[in-house]
Amino acid sequence: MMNRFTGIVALCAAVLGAAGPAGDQLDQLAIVVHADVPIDDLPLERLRRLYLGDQQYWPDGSRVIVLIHAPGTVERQRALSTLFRMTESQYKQFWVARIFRGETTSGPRLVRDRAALPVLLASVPGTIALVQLRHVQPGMKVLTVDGRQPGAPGYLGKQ
Amino acid sequence: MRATLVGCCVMVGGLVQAGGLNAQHLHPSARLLGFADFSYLVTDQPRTSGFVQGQLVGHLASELGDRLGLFAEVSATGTSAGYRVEVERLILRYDYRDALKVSAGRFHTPISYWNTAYHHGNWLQTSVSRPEMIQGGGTFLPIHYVGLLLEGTTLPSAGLGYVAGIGNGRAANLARAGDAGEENNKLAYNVGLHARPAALPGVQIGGALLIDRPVAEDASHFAERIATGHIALERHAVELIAEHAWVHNRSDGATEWQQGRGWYVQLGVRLPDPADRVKPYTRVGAVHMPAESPIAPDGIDRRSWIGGIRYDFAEQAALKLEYQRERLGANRFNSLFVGLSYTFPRTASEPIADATPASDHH
Repeated sequence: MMNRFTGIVALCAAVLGAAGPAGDQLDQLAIVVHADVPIDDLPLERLRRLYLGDQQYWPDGSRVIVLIHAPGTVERQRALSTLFRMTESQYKQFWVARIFRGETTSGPRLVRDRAALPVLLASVPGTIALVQLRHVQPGMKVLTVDGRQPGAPGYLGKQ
Repeated sequence: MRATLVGCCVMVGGLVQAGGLNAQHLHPSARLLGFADFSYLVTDQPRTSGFVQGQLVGHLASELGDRLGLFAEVSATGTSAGYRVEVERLILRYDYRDALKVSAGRFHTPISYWNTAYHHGNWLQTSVSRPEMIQGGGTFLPIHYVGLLLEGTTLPSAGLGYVAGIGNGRAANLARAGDAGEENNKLAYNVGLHARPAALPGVQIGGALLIDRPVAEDASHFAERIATGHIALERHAVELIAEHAWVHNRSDGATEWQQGRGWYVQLGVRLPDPADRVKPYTRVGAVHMPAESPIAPDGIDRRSWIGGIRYDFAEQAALKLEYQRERLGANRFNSLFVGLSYTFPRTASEPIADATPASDHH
């Protein structure tokens, strides 16, 4: 069922991509996780907690590995403005403080090359990342957020 | 001493990345953070004015495995006799779940919000100076301890967190932790709760308790009970931190408890864009302990008001100008600080994820 769903998402992404950028860019991002992550839906607030390190383990006890794009990318800008509600400088200071306080040993992992993301999501258990819909590939596990599908208004909150 | 200082400087001199991230080489990884500060002080207190090289702090955070982590913190502080190098924290932590993490080592005592949020690393805190109740080298609150700690978070909507620790209490030098063992075989116990509601980003409310039976500097024994409460709002545009501590001591054989109190309220408001690199701030605070208290035979009576401006002229460096008006007993003093605080290296906040297959590393 999930393969059919991700296939439909990929088809929609291909159609949208062929038609050119349309609608709110925010709604063209999707939350993608490693296939073994034991959830299919995330409340938006829980998603924020994951990205800000307040939750570091999935319900089955596996480690959450947050992958984040390099500064300047669309995915990172959207994550900063909606999920984190921070500027780039505030985001860096946030993680310096969090690690300094011993609340975690590591923050999100920086993905320098967008092309590497599918490999990491497929091979590293526990990974989660924001992916542009047109880059979602068949077989990727895409999460709904508060029951909303990727591309639906409000999928990642208000812009 | 010199070799240790050189080693410390080398350690904090750059970013360390021990291996990229891929399916088979996720661990270990390590990151270094450094903090330092430098200021010019003018004061009418009975101490010297002039340039002050503050602490150099090196911090190591390392993932040793999926659930095993290491924190280490070393400081070098200038004194009239040279630099004093200290191991401030050394913690090995095993994460069972978000709700249960177990640590062993040397900690910042989780008895005060400021003590755990800003203990070292002047760049992290808005102000130049620390609140009166949590001054470095002071005896009012125990700021380090050696032992075990359980901690965790639960109830995501409330962001409820807890800590529970057991360890060596105060050392014979009451300003220090029992690094060489427990002075009188009476361990200290500490519990704390805090909430970070999801509906109130940047807000933390909490409190803590600590019970100990230290040995005073005159070798007498005393009982100690400490309770604290705090509320902190920390957002980019506004910062409001308020904390209160009650410290009760009773010497063996005495019938009455000596009751001390410490508190502070700090407010900082960042100016609107395009001046948002500038944050004016102010703080009032006091600490009082009656004379003949085991932790302060001469008593403690300090009040202070500070007003200052922080200017983040670079992403990892800040300039601070701070005026401090202190009342120490019947005496009043004025001090002016111009301070520079910074952190390094530039890319310490994010480890790199690399899709290189494991075989390419051989």
